[in-house]
Amino acid sequence: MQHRELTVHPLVLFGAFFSVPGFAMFLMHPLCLLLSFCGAAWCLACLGGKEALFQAGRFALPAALLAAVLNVLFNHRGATILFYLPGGNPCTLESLCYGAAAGLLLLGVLLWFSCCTKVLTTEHFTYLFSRVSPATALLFSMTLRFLPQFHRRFQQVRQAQTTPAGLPAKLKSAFASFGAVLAWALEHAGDTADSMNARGYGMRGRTTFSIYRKTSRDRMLLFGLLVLAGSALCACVTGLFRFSYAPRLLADAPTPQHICAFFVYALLCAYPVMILKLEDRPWRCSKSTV
Amino acid sequence: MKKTLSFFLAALLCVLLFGCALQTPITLGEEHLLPSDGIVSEATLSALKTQRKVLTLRGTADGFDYTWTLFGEEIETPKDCNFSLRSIKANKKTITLKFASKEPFGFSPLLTLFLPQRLHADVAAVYRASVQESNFVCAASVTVGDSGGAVSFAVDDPTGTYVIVPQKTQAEFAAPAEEDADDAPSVSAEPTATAAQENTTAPAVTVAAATTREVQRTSAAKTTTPATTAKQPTAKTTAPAAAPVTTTTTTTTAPASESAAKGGECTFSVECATIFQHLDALAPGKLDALPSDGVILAAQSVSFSAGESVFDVLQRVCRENKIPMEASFVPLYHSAYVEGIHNLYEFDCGEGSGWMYRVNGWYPNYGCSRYMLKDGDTVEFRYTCDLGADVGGRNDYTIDDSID
Repeated sequence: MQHRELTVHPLVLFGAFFSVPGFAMFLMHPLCLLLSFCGAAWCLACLGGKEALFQAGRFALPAALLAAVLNVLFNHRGATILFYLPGGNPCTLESLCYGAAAGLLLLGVLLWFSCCTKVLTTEHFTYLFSRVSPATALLFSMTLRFLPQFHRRFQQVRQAQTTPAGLPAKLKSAFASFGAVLAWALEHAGDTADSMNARGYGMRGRTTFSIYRKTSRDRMLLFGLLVLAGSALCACVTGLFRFSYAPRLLADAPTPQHICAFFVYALLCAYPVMILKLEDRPWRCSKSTV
Repeated sequence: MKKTLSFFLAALLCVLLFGCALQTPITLGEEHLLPSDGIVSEATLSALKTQRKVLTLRGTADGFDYTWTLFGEEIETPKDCNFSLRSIKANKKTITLKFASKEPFGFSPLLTLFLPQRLHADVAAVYRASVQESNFVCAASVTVGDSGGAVSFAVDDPTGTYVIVPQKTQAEFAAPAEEDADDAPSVSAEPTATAAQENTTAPAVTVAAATTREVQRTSAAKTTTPATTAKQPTAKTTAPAAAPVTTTTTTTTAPASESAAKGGECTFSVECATIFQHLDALAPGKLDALPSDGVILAAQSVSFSAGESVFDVLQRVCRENKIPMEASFVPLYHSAYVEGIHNLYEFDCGEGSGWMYRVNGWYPNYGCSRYMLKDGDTVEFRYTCDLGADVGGRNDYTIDDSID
């Protein structure tokens, strides 16, 4: 299910959908992990419903579990020994928890990035970066587009062909299609570059048309995001999100500052969803009047 | 899918939120000079306790420097404590300490005493009032500081006089605590032996070599190894320490041969007192793993069966005492490499830090799973912060390399 095009300014979208995974990547406090995971899951559910959640979870969950299990095999730090591995090294509660936390972190970040791909289109990227670095922006948008396009074209080529019987013949035909799609992709990339060049893309003094307009709502959203991200960063620097996994599981005893910091982080994780809800409001209002 | 997800989340929540203690990790407080009267107020100590900090106090008495290391969480009832030392007297055999405090501290802070010269000793025994077996308090660990030697031990009760007796190896010293005290030389006889050796103005290296040879001879006599070891001419100062050399012509420093390995008893200990001199270099969070007296496993007698190496015994002892220990096999050395004991790992206290092992006062230059134990061996695992130099393990390399 494709979410319809958002009217929010790309800068707000980019800021929200990249700063939150940025925090989620580095904060290992279990509460932070939980908040980030919940925010990501909620956001993905808003964007694509249950199917999107399941689709992302199908790959992300095994990856997270694998990370958790592998950590126990290689990390033996920790004071609470549960049992001994065949190699003679201990398996500790702390390494188990660390593995679980790393798995949850991976899960959260993967979900956040699947939200990103749903919200931010290549058009957003070219708009944001074409003025800073046109070549990079074009390369980036083409790269982002490459895999989905490749997949789509492969399906198209396969549909146009009759499937021969027998596995060797099938494989041969698949390889032939693959080669064709690869050649197509290369040719298309060259064409795109030539075409953009012919239109004078990236030349000095050339202006680009964009449909985006910064409204007061966007400014408010951007300001809110800056305040939240800034205070979360301050909390990180002052060590409010500190959590020790080894040698013992230790969290700071909660103080009012800690509660504030976690509240700010919760708001930050909910910010993308807030943007999406704000976007939906006029739609819902106009729908009800019809 | 949904079920799996919710189960995963629930399990994680349970483990993390209920499994962890809501406590601030132990942090390092700044180093202070001991006030002139030596009194640390109750307010300071109770702040130390609530903030779970580690405080280092630096003082001087009779020309000796000393430091106290106080673990805030060890303090039970904070009260005014006098940490100054009234007098420190050192002669060739003993160091005598008198504390200013008239009453017990209520906890056991670690005292590190810095000496102007390196001690020609591997370990020191601490006695109350006089050097007698019944007055034995604890073992102090001997390390090498920046300017000389250092002796550190935890002081439980500062009343009365403390006598520190430096000793050559732990084999003799550990005897009082054990049943077979008559088997080993008695403690009171030990200082005279050290005095006899220190009369000669030989450098530290040769003295160390002489003692290791002596230990070797006694252990060789006990285990009835081939007489080649005992017959070594005394002029040869480069004794290969604990490993009995059966063939003197071999150039490689081969670990003890199978013939020497018999089951028996050995003294085993694990300590990390040298970290207290480099607390500022310790990796964050590791203060929680650091024992407040620097002793992870006090010297104890461990029996072993034939063919067991130092590593086998370490692994067994750590399992029995529930001490986490991580090791890996290094094919290059064909031996196990001890990465960390009690969550103190290599590189945790500076670039040159890690675990070393010493047998009868000598640091073997090969891995601990290649050292086959002999009856009566004293095995110590010691943490170093400076590639062995601070625990007296560097000179031994040069001794051993010159074996012919």
